[in-house]
Amino acid sequence: MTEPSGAGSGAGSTAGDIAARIGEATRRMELRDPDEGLPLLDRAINRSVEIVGVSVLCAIVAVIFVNAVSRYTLSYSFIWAEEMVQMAMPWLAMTGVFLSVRRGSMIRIEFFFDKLPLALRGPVAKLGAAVNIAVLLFMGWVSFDFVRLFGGDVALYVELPMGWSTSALVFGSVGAAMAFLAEFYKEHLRRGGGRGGHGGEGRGGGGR
Amino acid sequence: MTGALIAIALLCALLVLRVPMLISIAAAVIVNFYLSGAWALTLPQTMMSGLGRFVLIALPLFVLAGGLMNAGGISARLFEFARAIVGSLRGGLAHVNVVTSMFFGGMIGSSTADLAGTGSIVIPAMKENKYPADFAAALTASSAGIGPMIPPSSPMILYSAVTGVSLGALFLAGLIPGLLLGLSQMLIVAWLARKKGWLPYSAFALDEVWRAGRRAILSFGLPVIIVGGLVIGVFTPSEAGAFAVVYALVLGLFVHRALTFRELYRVLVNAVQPTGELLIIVGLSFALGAGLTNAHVPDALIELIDFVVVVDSEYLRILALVLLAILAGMILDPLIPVLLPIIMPTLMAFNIDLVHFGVLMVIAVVIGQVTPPMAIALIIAGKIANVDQMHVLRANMPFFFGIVAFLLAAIAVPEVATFLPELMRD
Repeated sequence: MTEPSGAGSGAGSTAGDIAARIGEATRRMELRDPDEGLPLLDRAINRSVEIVGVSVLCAIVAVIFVNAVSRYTLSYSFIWAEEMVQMAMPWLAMTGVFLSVRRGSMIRIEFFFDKLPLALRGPVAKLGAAVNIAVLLFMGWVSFDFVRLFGGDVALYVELPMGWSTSALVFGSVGAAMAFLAEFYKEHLRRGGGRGGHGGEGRGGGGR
Repeated sequence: MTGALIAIALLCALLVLRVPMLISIAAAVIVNFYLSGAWALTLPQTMMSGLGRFVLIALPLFVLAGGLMNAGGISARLFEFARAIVGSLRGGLAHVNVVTSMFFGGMIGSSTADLAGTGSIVIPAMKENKYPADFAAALTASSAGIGPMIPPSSPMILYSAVTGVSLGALFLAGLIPGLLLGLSQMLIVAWLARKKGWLPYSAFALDEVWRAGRRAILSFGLPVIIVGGLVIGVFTPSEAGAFAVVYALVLGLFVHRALTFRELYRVLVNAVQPTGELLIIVGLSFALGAGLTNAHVPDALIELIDFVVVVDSEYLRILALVLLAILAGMILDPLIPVLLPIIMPTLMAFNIDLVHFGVLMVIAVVIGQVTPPMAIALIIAGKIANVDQMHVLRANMPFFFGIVAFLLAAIAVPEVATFLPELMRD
């Protein structure tokens, strides 16, 4: 190992340069648009779901913040605040799941798959895609049953049917299943009928 | 019990076959419910109950606050401040790397953001300054692990949501171990610097510390708001998250003026996407935990631990459970929502301090990130440095043994974690 740079006159300017580059790199990472280069329809679908998720997140921040400020400044709490935020959470979660599926960035383990022989990867990926779709559709189905049976229960303080909240599980699960199906179909077309393809893995691979 | 074992086997098989973690857990839950004859609607019901945990709301809020700080360019200010403080030590840039990660941990709470963002510049900079590439990658991967220890920490929010332990107590408990972990890495760097004859990075100047400190000081308001608010009891965790978001927003938009409203939208989206998936995984983990508990899996685990740990020692039981967490953490990320519902009843049965164990779990998560086969932190850092994974793994050995020794010390001396929470409680 040799010598790193010493404390010379040039070191300060280099450090300043590094600091600026770090600032730029972290900003770039945070502000990246994962849909860059996608067809208009795909961008529109993702954007519309993004707007739902972002609106829910903004509403959650606003409600919690205003409630806390009001409690300290006016000694007044909105009794419905906590319940409303809890009701919004499934929507936040499911929009996130849908976007993760669409952008191929779901949390998964790539290590073992990468060790498989090439010939096996295609069938295994197709099996995985089938499992993804089946499980999500099943979740959507039982969630629908859940909403049908209990969705009419009215929340205590918000006084809205709980179905407003729980239906996120239905839309999210079915939406994510459709997204997997669309990716699987696109991959199938790209690979010319599925010879040796990795169907349904999503755009960009995305494992963590 | 057979149904539960089939469900666990299915979970492992699907994970190995690269099925997303969310789907794998859902499939295991469905199979377990089906085989145990439980009502199918238990799945959405337990998911909703898991999602309804109020502390979980803090997760997207802290992620958003961290994203806003990141987009506001705080990393440059933190790096400058770290350089002004420790850049004059032997092996200065390596020390700066560690201290920047410690600062970053107090803002972002995620090691990946630190690694992918700061690491992408610091590793090449260390190479330019003639540090060995494998060492630069190893150090950056290991120092990024400090982030989850220092509040606000995403793994700790998940731990709090699953166990019900106070988030404020957990954040406090992680503070001293986080700082000590950073210090231990700096000691290793100092030892290597002396051995290899590495020189300082920049000269020490008090006015430089003052200037850089003034530029960075407002960034430190974020952890102060979060930890201070939670500890004093001014805020609930979700309120601390909301205040952190507003603080970061004001800082980025109006004080540092580094953020535009257009960029704000992108930061919001980048907070929704990863946390949404994590929230559902937590919701499903409640369903998995409930199913496995009904099948008496935790009882079997208790018997197993009693069988393995022949001596009646709490420390050895903790060690056995932490070893289990480390083994699982080598493959699973996120580890906490998957493993904790399974071992939680065991922790209760052995009367283990959940705050202490929370810190140990986070250390296990950090160790998992630098241990094969997954070693996600080493892989990312190795790619940035453009060096072979095996070289990075070898170069990381001093830091790996350092964190393992640190873990053993944290098991033997629980006060390292419990001192601050108990002090505040008193």
